Amino acid sequence: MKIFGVKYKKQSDEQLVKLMSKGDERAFDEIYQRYGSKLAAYFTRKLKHDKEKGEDFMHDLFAKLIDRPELFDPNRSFKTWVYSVANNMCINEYKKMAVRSNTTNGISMDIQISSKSQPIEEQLNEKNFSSDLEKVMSKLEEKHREVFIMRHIDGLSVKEVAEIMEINPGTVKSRLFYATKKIASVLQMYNPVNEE
Amino acid sequence: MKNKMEDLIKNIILNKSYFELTSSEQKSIQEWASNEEEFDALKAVLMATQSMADQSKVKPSSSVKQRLDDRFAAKHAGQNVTLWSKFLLFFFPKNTQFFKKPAFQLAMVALIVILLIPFLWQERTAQYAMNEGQRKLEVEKVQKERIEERDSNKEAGQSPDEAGHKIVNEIKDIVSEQIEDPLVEDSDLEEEKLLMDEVVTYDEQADFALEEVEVSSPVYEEMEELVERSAPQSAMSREKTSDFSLSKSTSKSKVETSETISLLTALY
Repeated sequence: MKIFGVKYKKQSDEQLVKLMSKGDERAFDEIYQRYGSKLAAYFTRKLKHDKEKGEDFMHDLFAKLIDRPELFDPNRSFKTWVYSVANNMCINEYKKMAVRSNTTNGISMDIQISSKSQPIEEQLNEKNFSSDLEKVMSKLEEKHREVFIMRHIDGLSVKEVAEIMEINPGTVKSRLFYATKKIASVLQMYNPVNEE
Repeated sequence: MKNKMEDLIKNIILNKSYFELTSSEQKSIQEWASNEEEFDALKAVLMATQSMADQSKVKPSSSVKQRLDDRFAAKHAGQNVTLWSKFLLFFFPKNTQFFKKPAFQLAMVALIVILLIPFLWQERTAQYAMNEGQRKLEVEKVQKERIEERDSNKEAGQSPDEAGHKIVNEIKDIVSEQIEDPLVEDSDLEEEKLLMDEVVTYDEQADFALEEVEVSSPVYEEMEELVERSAPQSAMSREKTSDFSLSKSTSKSKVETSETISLLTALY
């Protein structure tokens, strides 16, 4: 036993999960601090900007980790594992949403959520470059958009994106290249400065 | 390597203007942006994604954390260690040698402190060592002086009996002083006695006692009596086994041999 205890800030994610599975609450706090907000943002973005839903999903993911820490393979990277679990949860939710949309008398859930996701301020401020970018991104294919967001907004590496998406890193690169070029070309044509 | 390359291109695009690019940098970004317009558009996209990343940071509500903490506590309720077990685990860690255990180390420190405390604030008066051998040396000195005196007396024509009486008187004085002195212990008296034996034997060796005649001389008998008187009752039993008794027996044995020699000569 170390005299001054474990330095949680310096521990790797994998070591923290190991400690957490033994009942170390501080290790759990550290893991939550590292990934709590990131995962909440990830879920919120993936689930049509529904913040509450995003938080619920994040809660469910951590609950899963608390209840069954053995699900995590220590030989794998925790970051990759947790994002791939999050990704699978989102895929399952999409499936559920698809089923629900077929049983809601033709009322599209996407429209409701998208209306939530587009606040009035942002809708009014069309010249905001970020909202323009979001628009362009939303027009991208799902596979290209996902790679682009993971790489540039979530800050994951190409290898990590490949592991999470369970695709070849080469494919990630080509998708990333295509998405970036596409967005850049659209924004170049759009040219917000000329619109003023 | 590829990732690093990608990051390098990203950094070039974000940090430089198109006209600032070197030929090698232009070559490396050629694939991404072939002209200035594309370069600027790419720059805008990357900058926008960065600001989006900052904006998208969602701070989860505290209720979520609270619910998770409760769940964690419920899950590990059985495993939760008490304060006492934490204490035990700290002081007696497993898989460590006994001298590395904090409990042992603290105990040793405490022991050292406890042992040192009595010596820290003790105001002691100066205690000088008593020179036990001094008295012995004095006696030896006196003996030597007397021997020298005797020799000088001899030379001067003084009879040995007179000189012997003088010595006996002096020794008598010393012994009587010691008897009167209550501080003098039995062991000291014994030592004195031994010294007197030595005096006697020394005298014998120094031809002062003058062979067999001396055995029956009044000086020797007087000395013997004197020693017997000076010795305490408790030491009487030990006296028999002491050197003094031996010397006594040797003197008696001397008488016997002389008698036997005289008898043998008579027979012859």
